[in-house]
Amino acid sequence: MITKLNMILNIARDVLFEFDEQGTYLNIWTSNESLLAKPKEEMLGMRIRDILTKKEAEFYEAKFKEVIATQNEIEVNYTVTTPNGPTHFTGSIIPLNFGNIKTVILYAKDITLEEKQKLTLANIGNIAKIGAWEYDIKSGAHSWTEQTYLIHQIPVGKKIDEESFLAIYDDKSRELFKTATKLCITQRKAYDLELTLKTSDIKKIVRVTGYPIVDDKNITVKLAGTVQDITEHKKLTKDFEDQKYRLNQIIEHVPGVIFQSRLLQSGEITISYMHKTIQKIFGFTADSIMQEPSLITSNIHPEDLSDYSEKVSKSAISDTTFDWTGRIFDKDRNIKWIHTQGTPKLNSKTGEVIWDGILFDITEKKKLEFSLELKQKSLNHQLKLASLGKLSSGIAHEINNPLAIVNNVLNRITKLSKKQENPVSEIETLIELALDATKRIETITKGLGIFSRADESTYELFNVTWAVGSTMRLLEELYRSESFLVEFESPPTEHMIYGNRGRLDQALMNLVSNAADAIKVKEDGRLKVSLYFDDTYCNLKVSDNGAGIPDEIKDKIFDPFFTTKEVGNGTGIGLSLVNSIVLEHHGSINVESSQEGTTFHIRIPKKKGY
Amino acid sequence: MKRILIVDDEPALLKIFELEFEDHEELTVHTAQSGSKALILLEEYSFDVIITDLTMPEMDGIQLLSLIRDKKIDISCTIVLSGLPINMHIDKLKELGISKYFEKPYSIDQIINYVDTKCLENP
Repeated sequence: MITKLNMILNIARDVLFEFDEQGTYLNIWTSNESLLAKPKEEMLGMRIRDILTKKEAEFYEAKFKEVIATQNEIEVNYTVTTPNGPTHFTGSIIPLNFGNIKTVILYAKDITLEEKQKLTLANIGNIAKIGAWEYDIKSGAHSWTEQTYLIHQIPVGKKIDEESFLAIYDDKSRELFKTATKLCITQRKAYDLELTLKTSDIKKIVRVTGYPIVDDKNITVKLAGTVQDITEHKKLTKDFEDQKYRLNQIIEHVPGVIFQSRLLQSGEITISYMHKTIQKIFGFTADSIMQEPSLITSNIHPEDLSDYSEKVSKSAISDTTFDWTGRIFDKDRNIKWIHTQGTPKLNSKTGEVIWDGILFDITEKKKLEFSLELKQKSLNHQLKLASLGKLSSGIAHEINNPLAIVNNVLNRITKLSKKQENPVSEIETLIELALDATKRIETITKGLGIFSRADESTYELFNVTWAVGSTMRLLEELYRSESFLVEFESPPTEHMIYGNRGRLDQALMNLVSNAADAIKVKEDGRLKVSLYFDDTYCNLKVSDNGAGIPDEIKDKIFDPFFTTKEVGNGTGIGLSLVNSIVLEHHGSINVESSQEGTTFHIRIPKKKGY
Repeated sequence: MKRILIVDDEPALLKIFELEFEDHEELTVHTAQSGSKALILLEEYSFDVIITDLTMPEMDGIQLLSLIRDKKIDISCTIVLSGLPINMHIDKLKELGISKYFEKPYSIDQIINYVDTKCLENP
């Protein structure tokens, strides 16, 4: 008996009472007096009904009688109010026989704290939406926290049987779960599964973990683990992944290479991101460029380098878009034409400027532009030849006339010089005629400079009054023998404009030559060119009193290769050329035409930068 | 006394012609700077010789000669001066029955020589 008592005490239960059949406290042992409802001395001899409520007391008295009668141990859980407040106990009632005297022992453990902890854990679980579960292998009993019930949408506290709760999982999940459970029991393998369950039409993805609990004899007695509803998390992860995928796709397919570069306070340029498609352009991999940005920066074409540095610092200082076009050598030293743009942002903490940018390979486009430029040049050349051809007959005539005068004057003077008397007045008249004739030849040959100037691309400030005047003198000379009247109006004061003189001459020649064609067959043809100025613009009007431009072709006249002239007569590039020259000068051109005639009006800004 | 009409839009050339023909005492020289002025003179006088430039404003030499033919004005010697190669107009000129053409730059001496020998010596 003593051994048994000792053994019981050894289990280190917190309280141990001996009762008789009537519920009288016969003996009280405790490790902690505060777990008793009253002081031990007072309690001895009292009955359980003096301590507990009547209802509780009756319950225990019945239990004591049962244990004495059956001599079987029964388990109990109860709560008493101690000086510490309501205190929860769990324990057993066991029979004790001492000769004829039959008594019972109630021994119990204070589980208030554990209960509290359990409750706290359950609360934490509820907050974190993590449920816990325990499975007793021997009894097959499942014990779940509130959250585990909630996740499975099973009423809290309902007795769990495995088949019914597994029924809400899909087939695959059920198989996974069963296999994992088996392995956990037999091989003590912990598991971590993602399972799919379906409750009242809502599909959930739950994460279930499990691990084995081993007793002191090293036998797996229980499994325990957690359950977590990760549906939302999964969805967010998927959304995030989708977004990431989409972004990658965009970066991959965007026509251009996305990058991020930095200008450090030290002046060093680093590349913090470069998309891998850069390799297609430069041959270097994105990684190698990020590690060694000089692979790009030190390979910029020397002629474009200063512009590049200028654009970088301008963008950094003025916080404006970086925009640069230039040449960079690739890995094989081929020239690549690059167009790049980046939006700067200043990191005020580090003083760095960071550009998010995009880079385009425009090499092919540039090649095309160059070939078009060449084509345009040869077109201009053809046009030059065409107008030269058209004018050459006029030039021949207009040079031959004064030449004939000079020849015959000289001839006459020679004859006169052989005569005895010297008719001084006649010689003076003759010389005057000859000088006048040579002056005319000079006007024409000077004017022909137009054709050599047409290819020059220099923009400069030039005296437009003088330039237009001299071109008009040539044209007047060339049209001297035509039946139409050429008028030229120009202000008495001289004006300078910024532009390309050769190109503007070409535009004027084309307009005048078109006007001349329109009135050649007319009896009272008139061609009028007027030059005038306002504050901003230089205005040039070329009018004729020809038949006008038919309405149906008015919007086509500036198209390249559009011509109304017979094959061989017109090149079809005259007006389109005029248009492009005017656009080059940031000017405008418009045309008014009726049956009474046509007027082209060109406006060119006087100053640079309009 | 014979009459010659010189038509050219170049007053300088007309002046030189006048000076060159000054010593031709048997010849009266008339000049016109345009076809229409020439026609007025043709109404007034009858000419033995006409020298005309082809390329002139308003009315060119061919138009002038066509009008002369249409008006049945008879001129025995018709000389054409041209600043352009004459083959451009050769058929038309043949049709108009011209006597001689000179391409610029010509020498007036050649023309005077032609007038003296071919036009003025004819009965």
